[in-house]
Amino acid sequence: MCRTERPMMLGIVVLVAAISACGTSATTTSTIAETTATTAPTTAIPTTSASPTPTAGEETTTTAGATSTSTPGPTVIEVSVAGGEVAGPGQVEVSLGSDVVLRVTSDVADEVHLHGYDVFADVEAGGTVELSFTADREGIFEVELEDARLPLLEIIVR
Amino acid sequence: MIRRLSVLGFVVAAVTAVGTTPAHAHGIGGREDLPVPLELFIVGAGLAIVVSFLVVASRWTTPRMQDGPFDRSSRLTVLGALPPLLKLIGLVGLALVLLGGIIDGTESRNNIGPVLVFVFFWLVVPYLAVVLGDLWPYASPFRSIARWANGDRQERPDLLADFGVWPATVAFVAFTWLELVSPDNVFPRTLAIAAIVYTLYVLVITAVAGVETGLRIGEAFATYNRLIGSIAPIAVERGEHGVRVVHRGWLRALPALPEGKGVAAFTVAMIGTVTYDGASSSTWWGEAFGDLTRETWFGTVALVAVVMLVGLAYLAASWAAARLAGTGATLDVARRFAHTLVPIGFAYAFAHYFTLMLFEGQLLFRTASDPFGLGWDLFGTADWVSVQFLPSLAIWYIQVATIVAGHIAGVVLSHDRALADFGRERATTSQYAMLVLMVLLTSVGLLILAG
Repeated sequence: MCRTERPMMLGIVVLVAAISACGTSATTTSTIAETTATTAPTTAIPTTSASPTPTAGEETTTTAGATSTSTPGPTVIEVSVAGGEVAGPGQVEVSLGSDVVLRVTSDVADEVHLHGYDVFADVEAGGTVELSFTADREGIFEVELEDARLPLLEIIVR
Repeated sequence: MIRRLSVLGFVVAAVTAVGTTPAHAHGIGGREDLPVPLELFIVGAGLAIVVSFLVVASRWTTPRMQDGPFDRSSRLTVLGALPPLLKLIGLVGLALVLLGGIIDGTESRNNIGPVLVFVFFWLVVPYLAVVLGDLWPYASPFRSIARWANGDRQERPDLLADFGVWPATVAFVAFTWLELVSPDNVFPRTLAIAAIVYTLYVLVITAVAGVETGLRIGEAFATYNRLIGSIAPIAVERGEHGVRVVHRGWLRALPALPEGKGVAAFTVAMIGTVTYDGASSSTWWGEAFGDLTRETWFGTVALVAVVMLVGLAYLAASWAAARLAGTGATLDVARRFAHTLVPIGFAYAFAHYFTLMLFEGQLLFRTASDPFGLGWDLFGTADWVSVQFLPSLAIWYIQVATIVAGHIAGVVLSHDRALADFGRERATTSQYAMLVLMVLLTSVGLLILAG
């Protein structure tokens, strides 16, 4: 790079740094707000189901098919499969660090796989299986009926 | 040649013959990053626009990057062992993928094949190239095999002039189809068969066009790594004085890339395939297309359609730039500015996949100890549980910073090429077309991270 370009590149770097710094404070604030869940999140996160705004003390934001539990018990999510159709919440949000129980009922024998956490459990035809895990990783995780390659739901951990 | 091909034929037969019971899919992926928050999205897009105009309005009024890579002659010549080492790594990697397909073809979790293909070959190699320069020519097992089989073939540069890198572009999209659309893509057996088919394809094309020319025309990952490696400030060169590291400066090798046919299409494919991946896993995509998204044919059509949309946008910008500059045909402009899209394409891929590399890449620890699911524990890491060591906030910052950095690099390269091609007077006006395109691409890049 030529010497003459340097001042301009430096200017760009400073500008980037300055604007990022402004961004940092804004984002941190909103993250704290979401974590404590005392105010409505400032960021709109689209979900397939119309989720209600999280309120104080509530650990989960779920819709039909999932039970939202207040502290201290684990969050229970229920999904059932019949004839290749999934009945469940589609997308469930749980907070980071919470305990989650995923209860899957299936009319076919298969294996339930929670991706990313790599939790597996076999389910018998007509049976129900429970997967328990602590939601200690952030992200969006797919739950799948493995052999049928049927997506059951997405668990959002934040 | 015939005897050598029959060896490969035997391997194909062995891989396909061993069992075909369907079992578990996925071993790679299944986790997505949380969407980038709105504030960061706005900061990123805003930065991109501000910087764009700063560059155009700056005192940067003469071309500075068109005279080929810098060489400050800071050379190291201690790297003689590097090429054979990389070659060995490449061949062992390919052998492991093939063995994985033969020994346990449908159990992807406990098999080294998928993590080697989708994390190391597909992510780590180009991510290294962006810093160290293109190392794929030394490591590529396809090149090693092609040299062994077709080393005596006549080079046919006329074929390169005719076809450019179009065959490589098609092969590149085909690989992303395997990664993003194909239903059985994580089975070690699928990957082993794909590796064999691809090796045969490389053998055919190098038999026809000669090794060096054939690899240029058709080897998708050679072109991919060469383009990305041109971003890097250094390069490892093998010449008559041995192997040495040559300093050339960030981005400097990009304007000097040979302008073959199809380079623009290749860069468009880089951007389009990642855009498809981001868009197809977003919530609105699922809402818009519903059950269609589970159909392979729909994924195939959508992947091609998104790539073509990006291509159309690029052609439109090239057309507008040619008009505003008052010189040059649309396709000439498209060819002359193709290299400016490379940093943007790389930024897309990095922002999208670096967490996959960091988190799912830890599968290597487990599978290195037990590569074929046989219950081995070679290095004591067979029970490794991957650690997610970055908080979402850090991930978001890295993603947005990468996209914005790619955008800045693209704008700078485009500005410099416009000054060189159109002259100072017309460069500024002609640039608005490319600027609009780049701001658009950057916004889309951020949008697929945010949605």
